[in-house]
Amino acid sequence: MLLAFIVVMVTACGDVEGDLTISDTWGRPSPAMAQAAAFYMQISNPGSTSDTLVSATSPVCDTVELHESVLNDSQVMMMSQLEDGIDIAGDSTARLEPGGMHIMCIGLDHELVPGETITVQLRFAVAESRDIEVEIREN
Amino acid sequence: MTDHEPATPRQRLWPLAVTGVVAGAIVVALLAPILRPHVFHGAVLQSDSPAPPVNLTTTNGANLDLSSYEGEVVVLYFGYTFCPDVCPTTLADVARAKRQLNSDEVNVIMITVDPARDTPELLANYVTSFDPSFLGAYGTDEVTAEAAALYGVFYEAREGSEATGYLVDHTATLMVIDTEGRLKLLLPFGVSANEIAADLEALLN
Repeated sequence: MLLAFIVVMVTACGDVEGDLTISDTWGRPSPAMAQAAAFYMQISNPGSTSDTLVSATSPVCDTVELHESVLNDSQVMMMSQLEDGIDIAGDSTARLEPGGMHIMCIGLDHELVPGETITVQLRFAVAESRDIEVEIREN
Repeated sequence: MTDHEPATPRQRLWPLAVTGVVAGAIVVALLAPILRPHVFHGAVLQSDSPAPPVNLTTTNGANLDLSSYEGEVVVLYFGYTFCPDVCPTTLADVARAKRQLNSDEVNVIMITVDPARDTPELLANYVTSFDPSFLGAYGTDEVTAEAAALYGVFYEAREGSEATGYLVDHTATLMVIDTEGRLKLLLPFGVSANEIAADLEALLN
């Protein structure tokens, strides 16, 4: 009886805050000898509380940083590190896509080939850390 | 209610005229894609002079001679191998466009704006992983700066983190040289593989 009560209370409190959905996690194959790779994904925040992707790690990368490519008004591409992380406002989606925000994997320990999956640990300000699988594919 | 009167010649012709106009409009609409000139997806230049020559070496070990590609198109891109997002995205799109066209007459050359880190070997491995036919081109800092200036390309090293070392901001535009060796088309970053293929095809025909 007590167990049933607890189960009902826990499931009733579930969802909403901090329940981010991460989808379409992918990266390009890394050109031979390339020292850096980019990973892309969609991070949806269905709750009302905003969250931030603070950092990431991966066993295949020496270091992982969060970056954004920005095209200025003269068609010059500038990449800058997002040291404050990537915000995911409540009820919105942070899109990490080519030409924009991405997770930068620095110091690859092997060439990434199509079909393989890379595990990346994501750390958030609010939500619990989670592991995601990044699929390596051509576009 | 009046008796139905016999139709006048004008009344008989009216439906015929309308049908004729509609049929004509349909024919024009169907033919329009063939009759209309190709619309390029970037800035089109009309230069009388050949594309500016550059003093760079290709990953084939030869001097890059842009005048030797007559009858074929050349796609030049200024980038560097440490760039994980924009450069691979662009080169992957160009590679896809080339495969779509299935053409031997599309020559893609990435000029490195980071000759200090991009050794010829690294550069060669990098470009050929997008397509085995792709070439890299490199030179001294001076020669690289000269080449960039000739093509209106800006690039500048900027401090990154300890992990990345410096990053290089650079113009992300594709420079396309036509079959007569003239700089013809500037494609901005973000143009799709399909659009690149359509534009290259228009230049080849």
